[in-house]
Amino acid sequence: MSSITELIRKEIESLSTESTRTNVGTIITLADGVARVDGLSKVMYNEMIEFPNNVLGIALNLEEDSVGCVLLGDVSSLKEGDEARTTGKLLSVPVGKELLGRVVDAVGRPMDGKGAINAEKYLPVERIAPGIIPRKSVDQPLQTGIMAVDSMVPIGRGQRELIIGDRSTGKTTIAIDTIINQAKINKQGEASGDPNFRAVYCIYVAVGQKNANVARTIKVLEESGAMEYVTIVSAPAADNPANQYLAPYAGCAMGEWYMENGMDALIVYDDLSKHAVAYRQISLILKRPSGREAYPGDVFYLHSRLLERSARLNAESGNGSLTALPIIETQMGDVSGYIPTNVISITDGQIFLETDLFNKGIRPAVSVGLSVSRVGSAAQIKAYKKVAGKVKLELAQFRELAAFSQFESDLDAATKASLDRGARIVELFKQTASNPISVEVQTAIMWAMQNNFFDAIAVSDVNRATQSLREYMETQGKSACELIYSTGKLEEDTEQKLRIAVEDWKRTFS
Amino acid sequence: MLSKSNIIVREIVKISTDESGLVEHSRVEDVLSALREINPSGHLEILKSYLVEIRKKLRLQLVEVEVGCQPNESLISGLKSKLAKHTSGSLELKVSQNNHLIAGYRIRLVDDVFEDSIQSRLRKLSQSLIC
Repeated sequence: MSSITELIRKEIESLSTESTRTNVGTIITLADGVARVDGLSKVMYNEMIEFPNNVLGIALNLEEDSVGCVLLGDVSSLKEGDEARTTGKLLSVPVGKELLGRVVDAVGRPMDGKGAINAEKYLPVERIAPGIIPRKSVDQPLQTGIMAVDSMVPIGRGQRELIIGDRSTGKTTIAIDTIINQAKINKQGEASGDPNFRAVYCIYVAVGQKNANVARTIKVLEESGAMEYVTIVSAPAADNPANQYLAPYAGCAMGEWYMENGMDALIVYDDLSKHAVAYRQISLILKRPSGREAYPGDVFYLHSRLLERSARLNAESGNGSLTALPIIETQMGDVSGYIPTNVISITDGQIFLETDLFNKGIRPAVSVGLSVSRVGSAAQIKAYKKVAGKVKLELAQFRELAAFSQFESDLDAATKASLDRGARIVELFKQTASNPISVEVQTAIMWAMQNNFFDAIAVSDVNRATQSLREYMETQGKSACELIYSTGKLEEDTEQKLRIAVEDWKRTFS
Repeated sequence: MLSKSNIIVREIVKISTDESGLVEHSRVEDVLSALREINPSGHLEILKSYLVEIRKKLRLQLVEVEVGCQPNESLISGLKSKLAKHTSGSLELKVSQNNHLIAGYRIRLVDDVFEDSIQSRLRKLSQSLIC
């Protein structure tokens, strides 16, 4: 009690008693989460505006006669004629490790009922992306734990890799599996006590998602023990468009804090199609001129300024990185839509997921032809590059030959071998959700494939054999895997150890 | 590009003000009677915009002072003389009592508010305690 009294006394003593000057305005219209305010002549673009009953807004349209503000709280308490006042502050969100394991809204307020977030630092949601000088090329891998991705479309720390596909093709699953794998690697690295180990902290931004889906994602992350490395920023479909518009920027500010403090972070934007829709809604209400598909003219800038904030910084700037995995939902597999083409051109590659493959049971349904990673291969570890270098080409050839072979009954030996190999790779890449594989085990499996250890196994048994080999390598074959992990190379002695381990597994596999 | 009605509004607002840019009651009356007589096309739109512009102009001429106590004559005359010294008498003064202030004052000049009252200090204190 006395400490509370003391605190209040201290606050009163330090309270400024000077007269204040504020810039005020009056609400003239109020509709669809947007207030038009008369006055506020000194307002800044993106400044936080204070409305009665603790409702906050952001000044987005500075016009000659009025200011258009998007409202972030419960607008039902506001009415025409209410006073709005400038705060002199840009919208900021709490940042730092205090946010790990928490679920917050678009302005960083806790939504998980776990109490207040005692963050020491705040960063504005809108910030300028790092320039050319502090950046460096992507050179460290970010393992997703998904064999089809890590081998064919490798991702590096600081890269922007788009996950694109129709509804229900496993886009979110790839992102969540990547987060789970980071947590797994983080735990392994922290347990090893390696001073050079760099943990990857994750931020999952849910924009326009169903609350049930977000709850399911949280459950998956909690069950897999990944939540302690994750912050979830949620602006569900039921939230107003202003919050949905802000959530990715808020999440990005949280990720930037790690990057600027010499750490690595991963951010997932799930998804930017809904983000663009929310922005279109705001723009139409603000009466901004609309263009193609009624999106405003600056919809490209909306995403480019967000994704440009993901970067790999050089040693002088702390060596941190922010990797982005934006998600885009296509309609009927059409990648030539307005928003998909915009985001494809901004990012450093894309993982395209095909509905047909998904329905055939090939999961993850990664399309070999349309998926690409423009910078990731530079970050792949040497051992993995050696065994996975040709796999994308082999699989692409297989898909092409498989289409032609449907019309051909008599195939030559080379085509037959190519088809056999392709069918086995397809089976090898099938992987269940929330089941990431470590890079050293992936290397061993790929090595076994490249060295024809799967050739004698029936195609229908390849997936079972992969599971069996994985289990073997994680237990009896651990020494070979540890050698790959520690050296990152596939030298002669390592290959020898691998051969012994795989031959041993082959004898036991039936 | 300005529409025809906007150009008309701009012109009639200019006519409604004197040399120093202040709105004069008699000039506004003259403009309104002339508009009634001419009845230009889109006159309702013109009248609406004219009202908005004149309101804006009038707001620029007004200084609203709210005080926590009952304003007495000496306070009002003191404020008026101070204001006249700085603005050469071109501004209108409106003094009223606002009990929510508890004590102190709140001056509103166009969209700037200068305030030193018990209400504002309590607000500042609550914000500092929440933070």
